[in-house]
Amino acid sequence: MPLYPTCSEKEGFEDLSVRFLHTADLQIGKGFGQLPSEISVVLRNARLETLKKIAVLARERRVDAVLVAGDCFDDIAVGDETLRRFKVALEPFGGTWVLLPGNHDPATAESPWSRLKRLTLPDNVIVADEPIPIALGDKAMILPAPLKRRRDAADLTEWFDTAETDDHLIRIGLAHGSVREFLPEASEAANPVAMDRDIRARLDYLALGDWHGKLQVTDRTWYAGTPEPDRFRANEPGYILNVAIEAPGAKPTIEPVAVAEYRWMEQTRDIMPGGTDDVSQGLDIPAAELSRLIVRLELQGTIDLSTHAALDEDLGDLRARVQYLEVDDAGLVVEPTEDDLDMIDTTGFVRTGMERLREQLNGPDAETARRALALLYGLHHQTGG
Amino acid sequence: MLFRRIAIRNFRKHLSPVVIDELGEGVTVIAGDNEEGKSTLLDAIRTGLFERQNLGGKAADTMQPFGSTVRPEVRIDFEVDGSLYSITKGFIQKASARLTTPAGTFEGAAAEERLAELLTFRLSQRGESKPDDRGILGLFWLEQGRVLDGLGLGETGRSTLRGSLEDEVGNVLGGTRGRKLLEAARAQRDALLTSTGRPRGDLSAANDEAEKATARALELEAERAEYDQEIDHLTQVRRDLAQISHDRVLEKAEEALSKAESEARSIELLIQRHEAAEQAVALTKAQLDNAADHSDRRQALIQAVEGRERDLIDKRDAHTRLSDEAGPIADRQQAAEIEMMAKTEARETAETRVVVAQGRSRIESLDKQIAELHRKISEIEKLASQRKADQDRIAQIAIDQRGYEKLQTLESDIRAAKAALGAVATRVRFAPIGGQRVKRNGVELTTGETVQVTDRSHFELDGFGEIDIEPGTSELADRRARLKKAEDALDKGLTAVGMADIAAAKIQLEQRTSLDAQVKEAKRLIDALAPEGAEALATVLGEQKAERSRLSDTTSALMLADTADPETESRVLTAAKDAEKEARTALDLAQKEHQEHVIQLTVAVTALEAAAEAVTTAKADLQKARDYASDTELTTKLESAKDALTKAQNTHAESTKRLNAANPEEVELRRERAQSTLATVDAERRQLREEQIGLQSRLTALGKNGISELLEEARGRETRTLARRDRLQRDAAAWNRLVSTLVDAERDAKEAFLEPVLKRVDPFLRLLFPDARVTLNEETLEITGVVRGGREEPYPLLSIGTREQLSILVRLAFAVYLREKGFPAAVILDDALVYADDDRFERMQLALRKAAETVQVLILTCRPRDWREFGAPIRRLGDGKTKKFEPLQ
Repeated sequence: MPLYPTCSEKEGFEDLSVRFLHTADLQIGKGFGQLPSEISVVLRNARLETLKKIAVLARERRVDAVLVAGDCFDDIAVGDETLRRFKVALEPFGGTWVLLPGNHDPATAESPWSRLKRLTLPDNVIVADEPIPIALGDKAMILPAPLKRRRDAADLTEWFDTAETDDHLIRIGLAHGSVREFLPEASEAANPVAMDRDIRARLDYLALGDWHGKLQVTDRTWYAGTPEPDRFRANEPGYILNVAIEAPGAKPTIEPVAVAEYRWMEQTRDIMPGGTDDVSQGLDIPAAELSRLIVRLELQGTIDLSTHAALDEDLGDLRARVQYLEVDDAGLVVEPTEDDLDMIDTTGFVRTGMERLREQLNGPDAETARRALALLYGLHHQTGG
Repeated sequence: MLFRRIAIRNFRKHLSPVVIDELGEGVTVIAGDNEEGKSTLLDAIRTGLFERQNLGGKAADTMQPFGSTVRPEVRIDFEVDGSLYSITKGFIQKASARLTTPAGTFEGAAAEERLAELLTFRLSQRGESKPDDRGILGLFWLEQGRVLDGLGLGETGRSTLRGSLEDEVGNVLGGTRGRKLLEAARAQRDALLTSTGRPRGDLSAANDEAEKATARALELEAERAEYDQEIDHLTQVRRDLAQISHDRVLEKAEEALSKAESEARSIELLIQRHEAAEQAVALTKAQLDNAADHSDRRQALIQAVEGRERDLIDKRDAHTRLSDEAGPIADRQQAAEIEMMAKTEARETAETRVVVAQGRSRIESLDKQIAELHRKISEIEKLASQRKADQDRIAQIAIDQRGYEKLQTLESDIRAAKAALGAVATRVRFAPIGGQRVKRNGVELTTGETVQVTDRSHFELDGFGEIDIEPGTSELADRRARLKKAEDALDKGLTAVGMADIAAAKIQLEQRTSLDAQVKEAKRLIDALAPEGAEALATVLGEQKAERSRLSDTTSALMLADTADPETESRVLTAAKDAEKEARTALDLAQKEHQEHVIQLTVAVTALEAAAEAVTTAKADLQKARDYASDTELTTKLESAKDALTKAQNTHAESTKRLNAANPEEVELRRERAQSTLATVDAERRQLREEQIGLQSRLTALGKNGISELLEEARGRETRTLARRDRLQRDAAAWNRLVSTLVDAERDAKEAFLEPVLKRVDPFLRLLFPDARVTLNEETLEITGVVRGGREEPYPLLSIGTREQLSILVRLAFAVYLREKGFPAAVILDDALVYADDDRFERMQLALRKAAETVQVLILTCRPRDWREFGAPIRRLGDGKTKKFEPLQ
């Protein structure tokens, strides 16, 4: 069975155990197009920085290898510049990198992998784009299950069961997909991985990618999750797994290490009339860390115009403190009260106008009327009312 | 407010007192000539009300009569809400102010302040009062010329009026703050929308940006799709190349071609042999055809001779047959000609018989007519003769109708004369006894009868004797003479006509009448028998006799006896004509048959000659051919050619069989297929390789820039720009809604605010401008214009007269309104209506009268005659000079 060239044994690493970092779903080149361009640039760069951070960590921890279980890239059509920067980010770690094509970056006829190869990769970087075992020194054998298209109905890890390796070698599976009957249903649509693959294939460890949160499937099967969060989903992203396996058959030791640059947070807030004080307090984040926060607040409730104005103020304040604040106020109903209107004017045609707008709040185009009232309220304040 | 009395002393022009008192409600006209001090009076009222007692300087100096140093004084008595007030002010020297009110008397500054409060004006802080300070009283103080500048409400007046309006309708206007908000909102809206509601500024830019972003995203999506397709394509190309290599398609095709080519070479030899056999068959076939051709031609010549001979016989037979037919055909023609002649003759005879029959028939008819004519002529002659006799007899009768009537008249005269005589005659009646007779002048009288005695008469009475009676009346003689004359005239008349008496004359007259009738009847009968006269009858008779004689000669000449009637003879003629026609047809047919036969015979002769010629020619041709080659030689040649062909055909059949067994077509097909496969596979492989290279380089180029990153960025940008556009659109809609709502509210507010005042203005306006509506500025309450026929005309553009009148009308309305609201209002006009024409002037007077129902109106004028018909009391300024000033004590 042909083997890929392996990296040379590192100095000072004498024992039979194997240690590696398990990560996945870096999705380098992810655009974050939905966010303002200045934020998206920051978040795009953050993913490369985190990769660098991983490389540095690998060097510091003197691990045998870094296994990336799929989706190094966000898409097969990332640009050359992204590929080059990716290559540079790997440099701090001179040990073995095993990179597995995932559903975002499958090994198609033309892919980031074929292009990386054309750019000339260093020897320590192995693209596992064929289902062929990869020797990790003489201590372990890595069995990769690369994706050659975005969605595959077959379980590509099946071949692990029959892959022959020397008994003294630690068997490590590397795959990208959904563990059947384990992940939420929507995640299982394609690229299935059998739940008991580790047992059936006598794997000492099965390094998985695709699920963006850190997640243990079995004693030997783990999702590392993405090291840099990329969405508002509280499923423990932002870690890599530092894995140590003492000998074939030994239970692996898993140490999650937080590496994320930014934290994504989504909260729903009920806003009461007059109560806007806790807009930033409710985040419960030390002030120093606020600047690394991407926040999404979903506001709901019914408030008056003055509360609305105060809320705008508070949100403006919070926006200045965090990296990015997204507010969804679709659930927030602004109902002008008598006091709101009195504050603008108690008599005269303006008051008449306000009353007329208020009457429209039950009509077919209530939103425009509501907004008109809020604008008037703002105008009232701006013009020194 | 009601001015009751105005008194001044030592005031400018008026050194001596002027007092206008007993001023009443409604209108009072104060008349004064020019220079008489009307305006001075007005100034005095103004000074007395509004100026401080301690007013100094130039303003105070002007109060002094020219060249004097006195104490100008003003006293005004007035009522407010039914209570009497009086203010007296003295200026310059011993300046003082004193106000008496129902609540007590006030002096000095207190009096002035109290007055200002009462009449809602503002005391000037320094110096002379300004028009603005004078409050609503100033508003209704209409001085010459000033009215044109609009209302000039002043702050105090405006505030009073606005206060009153706000009391009534509430604070509907938003004031400066409201307008500021509206303007700010409008600015915001206008930053996003044009006046027609089209996007502009940020909104327009956001629209463009969103559009561009969408277009860019679409473009990149298309690029991305192309990229994916190219990858799929590349995958396919590689798979195909691998397949070609794996299946050894090219090698297999080469082998198949080699085998097919070897087989094709052996078949080539078979084909050459087969072609040689084919040529041999063709050659021998040609030789056979040649021999057969010669033989056929010989046979044709022989058959030609035989044919010509048969034809000659046929032609001869035909000629003989035609010659035989000639006799009977000529006979038939002759018989038809004879028949034709017979029929023609019969027809001619029938025609003659018709002529004769018709002539005889005519003669018979003429005979009858002639006899009738004779009868008529004889009758006429008889009638004429009778008529002549009657006429002769008439000639012999002397009496006629007139003569007779004349006799009757004479007879009537006699009767009249007799009656006259009788009337004077002596009447005698005899009554003898026992049948004894009486005779008069010898003539016996009928007894018992009365006898008239007109002359001397002699009576003999039987048994008695005689009596002579002589009537003695003197008239008797005349009447007797008249009778005699009448009798003589009758006798004479009778004699003239030869009649004995009138009865005979009557008989004669009747005879005459009867004869006249006979003569007339004879004339009528003659006319009936000969309407055109007897001569005409004679002429006709002559003509008919001549015709008869002619016809008789003609028919006799034809010498035909026993003809039937013309109709019968005509029918015979028709039958004869039909028979003749039939005979003609038969003759025509016979002639035609004869002519045709002649032609046929001629043709048959010619054909017979030609057939004989043809036989001769054919025989000559045959002999000439036989001289060249005999019939036997030709037969031998033909047989040997047939044998040669049979041999060649056998050889060809053999080669065909061999060739078919080798199936060259299949071999060729296989070879072609192998060649084609090889070429196709080779081309395909080359093409796939080229495609692979092309795809690879395209993908490299496409992938360089990172389509996915660009696309995600573009999609993000599209989402963001669309969101921004939507937000701005919502904002624009909201600003628009806000502005339109506020504008509507403001408009409604203005209308509501001014409504109470405009309601009062309208009745005044209608008096002068029936279809107009005045517009006011809701802030300044100044007139802004007039709306007429839906069009607004700005106040400054109106004519001077209209401006003056409008200004006065609106003031009057304001005065009425404020008076109704309990404010002290009175209107003073100082020669104000200078620009009104007669019609307008009169209407303005109506308006003043209307206003005077609510407020007091004082009119100062130098033209009292203009107001004479107005019906208001006219007070002359001069009259006021006789009264005392009477300062307040």
